[in-house]
Amino acid sequence: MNNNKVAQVKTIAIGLIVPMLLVVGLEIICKLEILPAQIVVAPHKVLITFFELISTGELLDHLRISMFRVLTGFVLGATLGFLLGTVMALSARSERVIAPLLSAVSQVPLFGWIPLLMLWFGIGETFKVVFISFGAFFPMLINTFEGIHGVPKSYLEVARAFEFSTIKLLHKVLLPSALPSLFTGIKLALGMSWMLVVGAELIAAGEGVGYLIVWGRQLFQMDIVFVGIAVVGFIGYLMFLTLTSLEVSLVRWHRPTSKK
Amino acid sequence: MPVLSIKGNKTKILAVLEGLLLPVIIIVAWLIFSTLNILPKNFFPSPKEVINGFYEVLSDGTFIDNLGISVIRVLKGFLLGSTTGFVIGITLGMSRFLEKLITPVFNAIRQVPLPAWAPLLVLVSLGEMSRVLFIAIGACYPVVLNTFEGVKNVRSDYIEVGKVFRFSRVQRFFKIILPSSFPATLTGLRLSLSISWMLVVAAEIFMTSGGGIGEMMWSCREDSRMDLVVVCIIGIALIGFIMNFIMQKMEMFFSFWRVTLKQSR
Amino acid sequence: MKNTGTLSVKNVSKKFCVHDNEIHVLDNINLAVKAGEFISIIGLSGCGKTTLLRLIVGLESDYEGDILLDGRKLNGPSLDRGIVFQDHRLFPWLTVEKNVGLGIVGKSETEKKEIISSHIELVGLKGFEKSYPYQLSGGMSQRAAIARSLVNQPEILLLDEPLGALDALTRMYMHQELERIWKKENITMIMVTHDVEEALYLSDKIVVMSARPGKLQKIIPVPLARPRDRASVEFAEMKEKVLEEFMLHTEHNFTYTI
Ligand SMILES: Nc1ncnc2c1ncn2[C@@H]1O[C@H](COP(=O)(O)OP(=O)(O)OP(=O)(O)O)[C@@H](O)[C@H]1O
Ligand SMILES: [Mg+2]
Repeated sequence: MNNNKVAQVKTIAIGLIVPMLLVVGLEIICKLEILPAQIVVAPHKVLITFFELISTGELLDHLRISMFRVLTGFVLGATLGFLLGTVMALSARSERVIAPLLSAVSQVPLFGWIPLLMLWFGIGETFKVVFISFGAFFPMLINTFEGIHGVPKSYLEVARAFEFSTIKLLHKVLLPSALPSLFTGIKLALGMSWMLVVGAELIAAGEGVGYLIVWGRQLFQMDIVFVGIAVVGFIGYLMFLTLTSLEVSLVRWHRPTSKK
Repeated sequence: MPVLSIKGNKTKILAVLEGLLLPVIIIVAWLIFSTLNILPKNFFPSPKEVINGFYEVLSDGTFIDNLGISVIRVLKGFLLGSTTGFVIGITLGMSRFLEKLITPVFNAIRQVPLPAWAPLLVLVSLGEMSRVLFIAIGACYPVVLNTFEGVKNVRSDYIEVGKVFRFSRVQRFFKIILPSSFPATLTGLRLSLSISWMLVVAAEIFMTSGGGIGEMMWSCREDSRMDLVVVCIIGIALIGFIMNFIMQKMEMFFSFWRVTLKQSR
Repeated sequence: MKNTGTLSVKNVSKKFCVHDNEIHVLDNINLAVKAGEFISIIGLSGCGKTTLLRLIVGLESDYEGDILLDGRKLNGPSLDRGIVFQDHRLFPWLTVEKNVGLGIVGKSETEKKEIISSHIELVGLKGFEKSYPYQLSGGMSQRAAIARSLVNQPEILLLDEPLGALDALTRMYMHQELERIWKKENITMIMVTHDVEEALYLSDKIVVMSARPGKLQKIIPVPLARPRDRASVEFAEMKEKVLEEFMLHTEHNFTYTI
């Protein structure tokens, strides 16, 4: 027991070496002005900027706006992906009809849709939400389909033996059995949405954390850029953690999928 | 026997026809609507306009040139990112100390959504290099993760065989660890290339003035040339499809010996 | 007879630590093996047979007592001791010939080729040089593993239930093969098995181990002439004798309730 704890503390300590060296190194470089301030910025300055942005409420405003975009786009895309994935998994014909078109559409790299979507929807909120929903749609669709399609035959036979209705089949057998896969889909979809909101805000926005980063760049304020990057990374990680703990409590019989 | 095979062919043909149903409906609807002028022209160009546009950018060479620039750029970023990722993945997999030292930092950096790196790279202003670096960052992650897992999952049974034959560290690496983890690395490489192709478009939109198919789309959008945007999208999708196809074939070719593992499951 | 390939195991004990609990796996094992002998080790599952082989081949280092090969103390694995693992452990990404040639060192390419082809022939896998392990049957894989362990001409070959996964008929065929290889290569062999007939057919001595902690219960010499006849009376008598060792251990304390 004790040995284990010592080893754990040691692991954490080793993990902290590089970040500490990085912080100290950057501070020294900035102090001695070895590199131009345009390229590096002292870590303590980033921290100060972070607290400034928090106290003025700016950071939280940007975050709230980005969060709203992500959630709308995610809910839209993931719901559509879930529904279509379910339909395709349940009916082989619908799969044969829909799958080829979808796989052709999915060949377009996500950022390739930006110009088209901007021409269709302008540069406002609609564009961003639709763009984000594209990113959430495909991972959700694929994982829903695979989850339901991969339900073991033996479970289905049990259901048939008890003469389950379609609704009951879906509710009692298919969804629970596909749950781990659905969670994988949700995690990927949300991660993708978060990436795309940042992307969309870099090109066309007047607010949001992506915009905060661009704004910092335009002012040549490296500290703001770094605050933006760190916050964006941290929030993405928080979302992932929340989903994983939700998964653990919901899908007790299955080991949670790791982030890929 | 022949009856069976004909039946098999029939269902196959039927499946293909079913798959073509939606695309055909969409194209026919597109044709009808555009000839009837129901849809606003600059939102939905007619098929004829798209074909004319395609001919236009093909004959003045801009389409091929820009696609070429993007492909070269993607290859540079992919090669840089995936070799770095391979080295990192192998190192972290082989040394427990380096794993403990580097993994936390790596995981922290990985949380940053890829587009967020673009402004930083622009600030550093390295020109073409910043676009390549941007792609390389995204290309690196899947290779690191998959190679690392591959190395970690080398069966200790195989390592013991090496011990019995008194393999040196170098021999152990080249004869056991590398071949055994190679299929995982290849999976990483395939993912990496498809991410790279997605990012090249982003790089060319976020960091303009280096040419490429993404930038071409971007300027077509500014000129409201919807027809050309559609041409570019189709071009991008095709190249992406071809790249993925090649990588998939390569993956299958190099991990043929995994058949048993799959079958025995 | 050769005089290299003698093995002596002296007062060997081995413990494993699992969650701060010490498990006594081997307790004071003493065993002397002459050059060119064929020894079988039998015993109940979990009594430490594999562990003993792993000690002898040098894969485990943390033990008490001495293991001497030709009078020298062991120090880690060495090419003069080969082992055939229970689960053949061929590398799935290499062909049969590459697998067989895996351990060859300090030979020119032509010599290497010769050694590989002669060993493939020895185990009867001619024509399968270019096959991959997934294209072989279980018995063929086992034979390839035997060939792989013989290429360095070890003085001692250790076999851990090499035929465990095979059906009865293939087993009998493999017994003849093993005996042929043993005679031809003139080496010491130590085989772990669960099959008393197999042990009787092949061995000069049978070592019976008892469990928890693993001890040598008895060493039974098998003075039958070779090739042995499974149907003979002597064979049956020997079999009885070996089986008795196990009966003695499961004390006769049945209670009859009517
Ligand atoms: N690496 C290890 N760590 C902890 N305990 C071990 C280890 N290896 C073996 N043991 C324990 O040692 C005992 C003997 O194992 P061993 O594999 O030698 O048995 P065996 O006689 O070969 O059994 P079988 O006939 O089933 O192969 C077992 O109780 C096992 O749990
Ligand atoms: Mg064993």
